[in-house]
Formats: sequence, C-alpha cells, structure tokens
Amino acid sequence: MLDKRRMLICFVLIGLIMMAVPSLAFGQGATTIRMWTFLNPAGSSGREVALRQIIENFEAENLGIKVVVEPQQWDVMTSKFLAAHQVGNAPDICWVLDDDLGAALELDALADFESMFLSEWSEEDIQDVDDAFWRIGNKDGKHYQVTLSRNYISIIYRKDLLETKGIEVPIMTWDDLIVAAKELTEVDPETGIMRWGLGQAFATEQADPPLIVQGILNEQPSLFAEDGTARWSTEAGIRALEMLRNMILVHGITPESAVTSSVEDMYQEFSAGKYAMIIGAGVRVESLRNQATFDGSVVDMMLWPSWDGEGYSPGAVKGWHVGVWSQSNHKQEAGKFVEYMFNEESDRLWVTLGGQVPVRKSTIAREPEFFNDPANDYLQTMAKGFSDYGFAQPWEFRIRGWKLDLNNAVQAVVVDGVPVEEALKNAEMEFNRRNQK
Amino acid sequence: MRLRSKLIPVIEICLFLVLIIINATPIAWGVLSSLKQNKDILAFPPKIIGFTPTLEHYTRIISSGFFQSLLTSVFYSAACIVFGVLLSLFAAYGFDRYHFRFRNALFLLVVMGIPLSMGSGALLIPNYLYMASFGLTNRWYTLVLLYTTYNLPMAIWILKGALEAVPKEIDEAATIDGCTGLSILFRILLPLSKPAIAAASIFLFIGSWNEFIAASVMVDSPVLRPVQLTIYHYLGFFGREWGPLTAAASLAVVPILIAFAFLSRLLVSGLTQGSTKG
Amino acid sequence: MARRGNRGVLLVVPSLILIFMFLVFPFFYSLYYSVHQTYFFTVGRFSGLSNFIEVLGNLENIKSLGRTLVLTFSSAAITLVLGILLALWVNKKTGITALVIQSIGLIPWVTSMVVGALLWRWIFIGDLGLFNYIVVLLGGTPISLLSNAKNAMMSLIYVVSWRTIGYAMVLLLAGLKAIPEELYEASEIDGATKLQSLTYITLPLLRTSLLVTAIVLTLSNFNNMTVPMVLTGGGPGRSTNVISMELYRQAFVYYDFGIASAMSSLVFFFNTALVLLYVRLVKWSV
Repeated sequence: MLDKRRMLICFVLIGLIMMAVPSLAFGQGATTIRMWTFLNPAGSSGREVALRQIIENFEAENLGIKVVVEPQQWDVMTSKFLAAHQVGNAPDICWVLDDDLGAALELDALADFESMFLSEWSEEDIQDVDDAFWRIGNKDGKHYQVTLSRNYISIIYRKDLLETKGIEVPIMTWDDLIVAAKELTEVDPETGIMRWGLGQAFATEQADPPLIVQGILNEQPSLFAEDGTARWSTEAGIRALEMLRNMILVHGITPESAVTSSVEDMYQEFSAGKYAMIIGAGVRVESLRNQATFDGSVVDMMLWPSWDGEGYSPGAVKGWHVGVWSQSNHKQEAGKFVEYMFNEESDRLWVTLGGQVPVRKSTIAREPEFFNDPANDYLQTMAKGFSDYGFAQPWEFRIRGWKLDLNNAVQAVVVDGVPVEEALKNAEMEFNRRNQK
Repeated sequence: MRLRSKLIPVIEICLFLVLIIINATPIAWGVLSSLKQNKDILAFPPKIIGFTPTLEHYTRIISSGFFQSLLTSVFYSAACIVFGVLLSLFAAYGFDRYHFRFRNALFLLVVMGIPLSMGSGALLIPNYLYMASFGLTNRWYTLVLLYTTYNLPMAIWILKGALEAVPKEIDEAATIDGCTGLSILFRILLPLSKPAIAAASIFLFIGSWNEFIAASVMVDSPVLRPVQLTIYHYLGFFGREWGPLTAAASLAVVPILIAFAFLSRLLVSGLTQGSTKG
Repeated sequence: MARRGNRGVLLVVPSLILIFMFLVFPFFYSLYYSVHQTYFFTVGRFSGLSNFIEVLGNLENIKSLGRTLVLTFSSAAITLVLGILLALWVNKKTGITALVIQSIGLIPWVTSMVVGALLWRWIFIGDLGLFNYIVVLLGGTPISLLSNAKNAMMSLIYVVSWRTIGYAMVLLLAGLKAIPEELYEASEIDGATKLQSLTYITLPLLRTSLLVTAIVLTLSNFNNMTVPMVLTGGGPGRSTNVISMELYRQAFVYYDFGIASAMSSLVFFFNTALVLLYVRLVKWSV
C-alpha cells in the first residue's frame, strides 16, 4: 500500500512547483490592457453589449492591443483597486466609484490624461466634452477621469397616474409636490395595493441622499464648508428636514416603512405598483420599465421642485469615473482605449445600445431619431439636470459616509422623535469626527 | 397502544409538512420566480400559478458563462475536501494519539482558528494587501488555500472528537499485529470515523461553495471566479435582477445536493463495527 | 499508550502552516493596523490604544454588543433544540426517507446566504410580501415584520436559526451515529423507557457533539455579517444593528481600517472568551 505521507509530500512539491511557474502571458506579441468594471462584456444588457462592441471596434483598429475585462463586484471594486495600487498590481484601467474619487486622487492612483492623449486634442473636441463632469477631479488643472454611466437622481413618476389626476408635469414647488402626492395616495382599485404618492428610502445601506439635500441646496451653494466640514443644521437644512418629516408623519404621502426600506426595496416596490412617484436614479428607468407589472412605458423622470417655484433644485449628479492607473506599464495604450471609449462612435453606441446619456454634446444632434423618441425623454431631462441643475460630490476633501449620516438624521427624527435641529447637528458632528481626523 | 402506533405516522407526516413549509418556502418561491417573465415576478397578488413560464433567465445566465464558474467552484470545493480531510486527519491523529511538546497549546491555537476564520470578513481588504505582497492573489490555488484554511480548524476538531471516542486499546491490538503509525490511521481508525469524516467533508464542501466575500476580493480574473460571484453579479449596480439571480441560485444548489447524497451514505451508515464488544 | 513526539509533530505541521499563514499572521497584521491611525490602507501615526478606546467608549457599540448577544444566543438555543429533535428523528430512519428528510433540512444551509436572506426579505417586507399576503388571505391584518423594532429582531432571529438548523442536524447526527446500538438494546432489556434512554444514554454521550455544535453556532451567529445586512440593514433605526454590521460599515463603507481592526480584534477576544466559557461549563457538569 502506498505510503500516504509520501503522496502528500508529492502534492506539496507539485504545488510549490506550480507556484513558481509564472502565470501564462496572454497572446505573445500583443499588449494586453486589463480593465476593471462592473459590466460583463459577455452579458446581455444594453450597456454590456455596447461595451463589447466598443472593445471589438477598438481591437479591430488597433491590432496589437488586446483589452481584457475583469468584471468585479461594484461595491468592492474601487477599494480593491486602491489596495492593488498600494501593492503594485492594479489593472490598467478602472471604473472608480464617485464616492471614492477623492481618495483615488489623494493616493495618486490615477494618471493624468494630458500626458497620454489630451494634449493632442483639438479645441473643438474639448468643447464637445467640456461640462460639469469633465471638470470633476481637476487636480492641479489636469484631467484624471472621464465620467461614463452618468446618473442623475431626481423624481421618477408614472405618467399614467399623474395624467388621470390631472397633475401637471413638471411640478414646480415643494407644496405642489406634496399636494400632488396626497392626491395620488390611494388604494389601487385593480390590484388592491395601497399606493403611496412619494416613495423614499432611508435605510443606511447603499444610501442615496435624502431630499433634505435638495432643500438645502436650494438656498445654499454647497452642503459643505470650504474646509470640508458639514453644513447641514442651517436654516435651510432644518426647514428641509421638517418638510421631510411631515411628508411621512403629517401628510402621509410616504409610508413609515420607508425608514427600513433600502433603495432597492423602493425600486422593487415601485415596479410592483406601490408608488406613484419615487426619488430615483435615471440609470434605473430602463430596468424599472422592464420589471414593471404595469405598462413600463409610463415611467418617466422630472426635475426637482424648489421652494419658490423659480427654477429647479439641483439633483445629485453621479457617475463612474474611468481612469488609467498611474503606475500602469501600458499607460499609452490604456490611455488610447479610454480615449476610444468616449469618441463619437463609442458615444453613439453607449447611447443607442446602452440607453445612456451622451458624454458628447454633439451626439444629441447626431442621433435625432433616438432623442425624439418619447421613451427617451428622460435622458434629455437628465442632460438638462447635468448642465444646469446638478451638483457633484466634492472630491477635494474627505466626505466618507455623508449620505449615511443624513439618512441617520432622518431616521432619528422619524423613528426616535429626535428634534430636527438636534438630529442635524448630531449628523454633522458624526461626519466631522470621522472625516476631520 | 394501537391508537398510539396509528397516530405516530400521522404526526410524522405533519412534522414533515411543517418542515417542508418552513425550510423550503423561500427556495420554492425563488425557483418559481426564476421561471417567470419579468413582468410577473413582482406582481401582486403573488402569482403562484397562472403565469406563462419561461426559461429566458436560465438561457441568459448560461450564455454569460455560468457553467464555467460552476466548474470552477466544483474544483475549489473538491480540492478543499481532499486537502482538508487529509490534513485534518493527520492533524487530528497527531493531536490525539501522540504526545509532543506544546501539544495542548497548539491544539488550542487550532481551536482559536475557528473564531478567527469566522470573523475574517471585515478584514479582507487588509488581508488582500498581505497576500498580494506575496503574490498569492488571483491564482488557481488562492481560494483553495484560503477555503481549506478557513474550514480546517473545524474539521480537525470534529475528527479529533471522533478519534477520541475510539479506545486506544485498538491501537495497541493493531501494533501487536504489526501495524505502524499511518497504517493504523488508515486501516483502522479511518473506517471507524466515517460519520465524522462525512460531516467534516460536508462542512468543507459547503464552506467553500457558499463563500463569496473572500472570492470577490482575492481573485480578479473571470476564469477563477466561483459560482457565488456569478450569482452576485445579478445584485449589480443596476439593481436586483430577480430572474437571473434566482435562476443562478437554484442551479448552484444542485451540485451540493448531489454531493450530499453521496456523503450522507457515509454519515447514515456509520455504525461502530462492534469494535469493543464483549 | 502515547507515542514519542516527532511523528506527531510532522503530522500536525502542514495544518499548522496553513493556519499560521492565513489566519494567525493576518490577525497580527490587523493588530498592527489597529494601533495606528489609517487612511485607506496607508498607515499613519502610531496611536496606541486610541482606536480601542474609541470603539469601547462609543455607547452605540455597547448597545450593538447587547443586540448581538440577544441574536446569537436566541438563535443558537432555538437551532440546538430543533437540531437535536431533527437529528433524533432522522436517526431512526434509513435509506431514502432519511436522505430526503436530511436534504430538506439542509436546504437553508446550502443555498447561498445572500439569496436566502434576500428571499426572506422579499417575503417579509411590507404589504406586498408573501407573508402578509397569506396573513390577509387568512383574514388578519398585515403585520409589519421589518419596520417594527421588536419584529425586526425576531425576524432576524428566525432567519438566522432557519439557516443553521441543517448545520446542527448534520453535526448532531454524526454524534448520534457514534453511539453504539448495544447500549440501547441493553437498556431496553433492563426495562428503561424511551425518555430514560434519551436522558441517561443519548444526551451524556452526545455531550461533545453538543458542545461543538453550540460553539460553532454561537460563533457563526455572532459573526454573521450577511443576514443582518441583507434582511434588516440594521434597521429600523438601529434596532438590529449588530456588531458584525458595524464592523462591515467601518471596513467597507468608511474605510477606517484602524477602527475596523480594533473592533475586529475585540470581537475575536470576545469570541475566544465565549468558547472558553462553554468548555468550562461542560467540564463542570461532569
């Protein structure tokens, strides 16, 4: 009988030998660029198909460069990237979460576009892409990212329900919003579901900023002071949180269960018919339409109301910041691909196949059919929000967990009955304590 | 007396039904959802029947590489079982039947490994730094090593418990007959500890099959991804896609149930062979 | 008869190497983090015990610990009792029946944790979930399972127990199978009832299995990050915010690895204390 211990030793030796053999290199003679994103080119959703097409086009025009995508879990991807940056084996391109762009810049993880391709761009081209997104992360005047999968958080509503009630869109003041939501709160005669006028979500996991933010930004230029401390317990903030509290406890347009609902639950319930309007992200409109138990085409988006009805409150502007690793061995090639991802043809693919808002202003003119389709109206709403009514998260100072702190304040007020000003002050203190260390 | 014996099967069937309802409801709901079209999945009142079933979610996940990740998981779990059982058998034998310096301290260390491995989730990113600096991440053996290690303390403890129950007189009897160290382990002790080995194998299998946090951090390339990551892909940035999510989760349970069908034979049939009768 | 040392050491070394490399060293690595101020992964200035003090001094953390203990022990107790009953029942069966019952008992454990918890959340949540649908069908009024602090904790305990019963069943079954048939036969001849067999033969001989199961259940429930996060997200308010969730938040949301490491070390010491406590208790009841 074989001595099992010898067998084990053999196993170990084989293992050690295999460890010593370096991993096979991809395609000899070709440069391989690694990219981390949450999209899977082998997938079937619109964006994934668009990505696949863009990669195919790029490789066809650039024989000798291969793009390998390693899809990652979106919520750990950026921190993995930053950890890998520290150790020295990060991918060549990464899609950075907007919450973490500041950290990425602080840790010098991204390479500037000027050194790769931007200096060769014509003035016209730069004009085409120049907007609030383009200016995010402009450390020392250089550009470190291009924002893809652009997102806008505003009010998503059901056209059919608002029409039946004769409510005019867009809704211009907060009071009008509350009145409209009240009218829309009723039991659905067909399905027996209790429908609420305005769905919101305040659970602190995967939080979206609560609408206090809109109330505040209507009157203040920013949520933060210049040194990065929070400015939420201002008059505007108190007024906004009071209104939010009343929406739940007085007007009854948002159910109390909103304090435990996560954003995902809210979307799910909207698709199931529980809400007439929700505070949601533009990139979700498509999947909401797909999963709706009612006719999905009625899902549309409007901009935020304001206190006085003159103009709209700014909505949160978000996206994925695509950048090149500062220590990549293939910076020029990686830069080439990043540049390719938002050239005219690729932008067209992102829009028509992926249903995204374009990066380039010229794309709208080039795709009249697409943009005239009423189903894509919401994309134009988003674009308007981007250009005139949007605010991006600051990246110059640390803002970890700000959304959670605000949602905690909401919970404290609604669940524990904490007075509004105190809740906001506590949230500020928590935020400052964590980020000003 | 007669009433009692008639009543027992009835009670048993009731118990069985309760068991099924509690345990299987969410799973049944999941499988049901995986067969519905998108517009039916979230419908209220919930549709238990009365919808047109579809296999679109299954075809979608299969065409996105589901089976490859399934095979990868099978590889990881199988390797984990083989190494895990071997290593823990040796270790349990060593701890139980041999005396050496620091024996108790080292065993305590092993036992402390159980809370260490269970609490390791939050610290995975620093662990990533530590392992990456040795070049141990994103390799075919990365998760094998990790999963084996995480489940090893438990396996050692189970097997040591089983070996403890076998009287040392058997070892002596065997030595008299001319057996030595390892062959005692494999010829005599192993057959007597089959239920424990089966239990340890089940833990090793399931522990490695269902793990996802370490997998999402420690490996990068798609080809090294286990099936859990493929499932969680559908809890993506654009929301919960119930259809493919439940389809993937349903398919992922199948290999475990198959493995369990095999391993449970060891578990159920392991009776002591009358080793110390008389 | 014990054997001389060297062979023993060799047998044990491979396992120890793995355990050292992937469990012990990372632990010390994280201890290193815990005594510094960190930003992301960059280690800043040495700060001694300040992270620990910050963790222990935060009232919220103490409350979390309390909730965690409630969750842990309630679930462990429920699972242990139901696990024993299930194992005893299956023990008497053979063949296909045994296999089927075991498989059904195992289903919660073998399904992926996140999907299982998500499905329960779907079933429990609000008036659109399956649970309230059935309640209304049976003529009741909808119960808010996840938006009400007490109910949320109970739902959490329920789902955690649900998950681990299969675990307990397998462990205890292995222990049951190791009890020789002859003991039961002998006691039957002596005229003992089933209950007496249970109390005087089964339970004492099952002691090690019970201990192992109890320890594993306690540790597993204490450290379970996934189910609380997916099922209740710590809510409503903070009523189900258990330690593991706080830990996750510090590590993956705030990226404060100094604090997360300090917390994690404290959790580890607490867990070890629990294990030692269990072992002591069992030794005393001899």
